[in-house]
Amino acid sequence: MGDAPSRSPMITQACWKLAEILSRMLDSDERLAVRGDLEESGETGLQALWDVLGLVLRRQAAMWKDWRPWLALVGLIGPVSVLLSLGCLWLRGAYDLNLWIIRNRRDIEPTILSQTGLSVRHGVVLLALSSLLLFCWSWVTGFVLGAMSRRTLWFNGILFCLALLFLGSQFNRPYQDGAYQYSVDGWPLPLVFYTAILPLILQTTLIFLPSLWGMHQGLQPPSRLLQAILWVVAVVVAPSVGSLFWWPFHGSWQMRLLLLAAYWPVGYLAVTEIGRRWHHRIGSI
Amino acid sequence: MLGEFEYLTLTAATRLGDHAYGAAIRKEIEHATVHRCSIGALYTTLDRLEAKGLIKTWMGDATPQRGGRPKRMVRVTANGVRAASSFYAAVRRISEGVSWEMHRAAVR
Repeated sequence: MGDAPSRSPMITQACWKLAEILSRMLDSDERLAVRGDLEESGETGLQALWDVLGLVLRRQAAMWKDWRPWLALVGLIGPVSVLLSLGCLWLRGAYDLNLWIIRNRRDIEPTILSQTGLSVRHGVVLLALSSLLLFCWSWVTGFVLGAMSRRTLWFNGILFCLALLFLGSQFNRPYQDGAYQYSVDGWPLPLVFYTAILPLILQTTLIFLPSLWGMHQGLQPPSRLLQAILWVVAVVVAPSVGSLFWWPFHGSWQMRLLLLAAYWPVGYLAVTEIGRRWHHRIGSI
Repeated sequence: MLGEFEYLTLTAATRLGDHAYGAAIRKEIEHATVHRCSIGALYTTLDRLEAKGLIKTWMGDATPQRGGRPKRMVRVTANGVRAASSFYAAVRRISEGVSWEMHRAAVR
């Protein structure tokens, strides 16, 4: 952008710099045209900043006239971030229990394990499947958030991440007064790993990263590979999400209601995919 | 029916003809109204007029005085001419017999 001669060059330069940064929120063609107009008109830095800010605000406001960003905001960010965090909390408990079983497998009476339905093999399978499920579910959530929010994703995405951070800090607090229920200290890692680092790893690898990846994919035009992935993920997630929550909310109607929020991103995927195929078929007739 | 700013934009673009683009239209409007015209108002109005089929816009050539950046060129369509003409006719009809100079003097 051009630099207008000014009484206070530092402020002017800062305003032009800010205007330039803000203008990145516009479409590339519009950004170039606006910056060219400002340069041609010989605007001061403050006027340029005011103009760009006004245009960006109008553009952002126009995006919120659509119902989809609102649905993503109300129906996805709040309830699903809670459910994902609860899923992570449940998985943390499952990791704790199964690591304890693996640690003490030689000392535990085999009949006790068989009576409770727990075993090392069962534990490993459970942890692997549950981790995969949480990963897929986070990806689906991110994908639907990206697909519905589109250019409001910067707002909805940041809000979703903040909600996950807040809920993660609330649910995954390190054990108070040092009382950890499983004696795994020193095997194979110190206690701090199980109480503080493991929850962080679970939240990062099974919720944060797949959600961000899903958001990125949700903004892309759907390729054949992506459509295939969507169907596989939907098939994995749809029948099994509810099973994550049998504990400790079994029977609670509030939880059953909340679970509906867990299913709708998968429903959205299925409906949009069916709709796309339908249009494609009609178009080819 | 057009809004007043839409009418101003269409008229400025028509007056400028082949040289109608963002900064030039803005200058025309500011000259006519003696008020500052914000880029936000202008660009969102251009979008609205284009969505109504009253103008057509495209990215033009870059010029050195714009730092090598292209212009958003504007052409008024036949529908745009009809809409502006209809708006102007309505303003003329409703203004018949009203003298603003006389009313201004009466208010004083």
